[in-house]
Amino acid sequence: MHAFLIKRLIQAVIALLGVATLIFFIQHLSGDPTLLLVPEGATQEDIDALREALGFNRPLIVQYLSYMGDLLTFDFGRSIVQNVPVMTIIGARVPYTLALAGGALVVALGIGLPLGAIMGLKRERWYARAAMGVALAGQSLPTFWSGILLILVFGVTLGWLPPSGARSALSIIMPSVALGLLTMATFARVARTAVLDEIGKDYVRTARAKGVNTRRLFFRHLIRNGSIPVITVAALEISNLLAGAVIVETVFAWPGLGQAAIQAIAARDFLVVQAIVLLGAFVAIGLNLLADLLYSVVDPRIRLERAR
Amino acid sequence: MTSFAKHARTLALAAGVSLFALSAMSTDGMAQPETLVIDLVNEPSSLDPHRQWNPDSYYVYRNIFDQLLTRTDDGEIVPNLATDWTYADDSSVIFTIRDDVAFHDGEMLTADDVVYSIERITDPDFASPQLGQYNQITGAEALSPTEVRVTTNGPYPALLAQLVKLSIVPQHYVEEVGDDAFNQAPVGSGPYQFGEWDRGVQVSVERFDDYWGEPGFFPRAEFRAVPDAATRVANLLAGEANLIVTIDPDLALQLDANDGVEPRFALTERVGYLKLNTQVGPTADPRVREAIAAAIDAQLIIDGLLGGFDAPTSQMLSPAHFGWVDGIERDGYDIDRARALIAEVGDPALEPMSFATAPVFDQRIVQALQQMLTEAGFNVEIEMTDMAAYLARAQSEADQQADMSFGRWSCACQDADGVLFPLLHSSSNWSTWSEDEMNALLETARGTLDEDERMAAYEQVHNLVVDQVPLVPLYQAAILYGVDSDLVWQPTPNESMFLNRMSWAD
Repeated sequence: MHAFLIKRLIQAVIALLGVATLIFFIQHLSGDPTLLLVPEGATQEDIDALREALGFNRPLIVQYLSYMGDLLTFDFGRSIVQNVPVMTIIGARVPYTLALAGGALVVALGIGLPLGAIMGLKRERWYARAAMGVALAGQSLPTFWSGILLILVFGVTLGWLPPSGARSALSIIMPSVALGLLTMATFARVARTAVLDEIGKDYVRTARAKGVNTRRLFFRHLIRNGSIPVITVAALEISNLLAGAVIVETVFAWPGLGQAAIQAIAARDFLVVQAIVLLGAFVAIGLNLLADLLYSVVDPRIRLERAR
Repeated sequence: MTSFAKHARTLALAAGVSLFALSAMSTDGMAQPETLVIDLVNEPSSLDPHRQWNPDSYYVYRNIFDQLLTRTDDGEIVPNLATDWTYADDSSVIFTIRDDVAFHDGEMLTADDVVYSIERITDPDFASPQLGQYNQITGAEALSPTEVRVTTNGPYPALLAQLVKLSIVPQHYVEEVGDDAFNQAPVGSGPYQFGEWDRGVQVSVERFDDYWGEPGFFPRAEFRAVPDAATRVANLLAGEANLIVTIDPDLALQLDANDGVEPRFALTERVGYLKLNTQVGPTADPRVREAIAAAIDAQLIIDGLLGGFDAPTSQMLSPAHFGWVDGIERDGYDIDRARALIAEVGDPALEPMSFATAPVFDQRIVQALQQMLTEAGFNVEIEMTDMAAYLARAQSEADQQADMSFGRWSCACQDADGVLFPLLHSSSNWSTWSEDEMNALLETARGTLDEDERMAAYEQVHNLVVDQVPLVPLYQAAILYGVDSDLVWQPTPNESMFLNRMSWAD
């Protein structure tokens, strides 16, 4: 178990350094932000002076080594556009993105899993098919469209919820639903498959033969055995949620990381982009690790295999 | 965003707006709020007025700070902190500063603060992105607590226009708290004082009751970050926002269809233009350039794509600029003439031409231009890069530049020097045009304070542009806002948003 963890942690650090290197060069190879900052018509002298002050006149490899050096001491630098430490910008936005991802996950799991279970257990019934339709519709509607529709119906016409922003506790509902609907269908499908897989197995037949009723069978056995694929998918889907949050945050003016990333990319605010990408990579790697650890909790056989 | 996505959203919005129109809800009859809510695109990048000067920053900090001079809604430069100014000689101006101006922390504003502000923004080590607008200023000195002498490196006719944007910051406060703390909690002398900055969400400002000038009507205002235009419109319709910036003509028409809200617009000093490479490729031939100008129907672009808000122009300026000359007319759209010129030039005119653009520009316009040129017989290939790469290419050597590029120029100074010199003088990176007559005219206009002499030079510049087509001026760009109909406020060409010029209608 420990050997497994240590190995995975070393892999994680290497992956993060790789991501840092990649994002650094991808951004810098297409030029620097100096021209975006100066007024139109600025002279070459003005441009050169600003470029020098910002440090973009140094050889790329020097800039890279300086960046990696800072990174190893957990110094993420300063935003050249906003003139504040990168961590100030990110720190202000992380809570919002976490709240949104959490809200979306609640929506996705809370609707997706029951839908999936119904589709699996009662697949011949009309309402199971209808449920499939609902799930598919949720996934097929692009968020920039469903988002604005939600805003106009619930925010403008009915006036039940704040149309956008993050000023009240109710503000999180619509963005969570818009984002959650996207992944809901994935969970529904996975849950359906898991239930179908398990329902055909010998232990289910045995349990049924013993007279265990469906409800007990489902809650005692199917859920636990069917949860492994759900955990895997959840780990992957949280990364997807963070990606989807970019659009949802923009549509709903939700001040999360995705919105900050878009602004930073447009302004070529390199250090902010790099920090957000690194954070995203860190979360993705961390979630996968967590998923692996959770398997072994749910299914002890996995732990034994890995430890060998 | 793809155009499909855009249309899908327009449809969604139309559906929603119709629902809204059907519903009984209306903002009429509600009490007018004391807090004015303004939806910007992004939050300000900085509130230190000597740092960023993008619109979202500018809209906010211009209310917190004063400048020596300001412009009326009609564009006239009038006294603000400076009550009077006289030219001591061609390259130095003495400003008389008000003695009754208090900063928000109670300290009085003096000539030393003015000198400090000028020196701060022009200090290369401070690395202000705005330095390029003030690089002609060589010094500032306080002659008395109410007198400042500003010197320039030679006669600099655009000085006053540039000083309209230079905010005066409190020396004592900036030095005491440092640049970072000042940026995050600024203290100025303007009609509104900084309230709170909820990062990513909003910046609030509060009316400064000891303001020396025209007091604000609203006790408080909030500037919120709402990146999506359709969401800004929804906020306005829901009554959550009172003023929203930057909407497109489709959204403006939808606002028109609703009670209680309306679009308002101003023709700005931004000019949409097509720059041609006069040294390399097919466009080096003046007949090709003339044919390009004849093939473009600017009015059609304005009516068909821009909702009719923008205005066609034959010179590379707007009437809001010093240097605008009434009556300059270039030959209009004439496709037969374009075809005839192409036939005259022959094969070289049919070679593929590169057309540089970036996503920030309206791609429908770029495609329409390509279509018009193709119809005349040209072979035009659009080359899209991101904005930074586009700017780098637009400012490179002539053989690196594209054959043509679409742009929207704003010098943010409303003076011809800030537009025509960089675009047409051979010493400028932007220019591929190298002609002694043009250089001499631009230098004359830059080097004298005599307004008549300047105007005469610019008139000749405009005529040279019409004759030789180093670029094709297309239209004066409009800026569209959405407002609560009860808000008294007139948008201006310099895209300012002064809270103390706004109020609720009675």
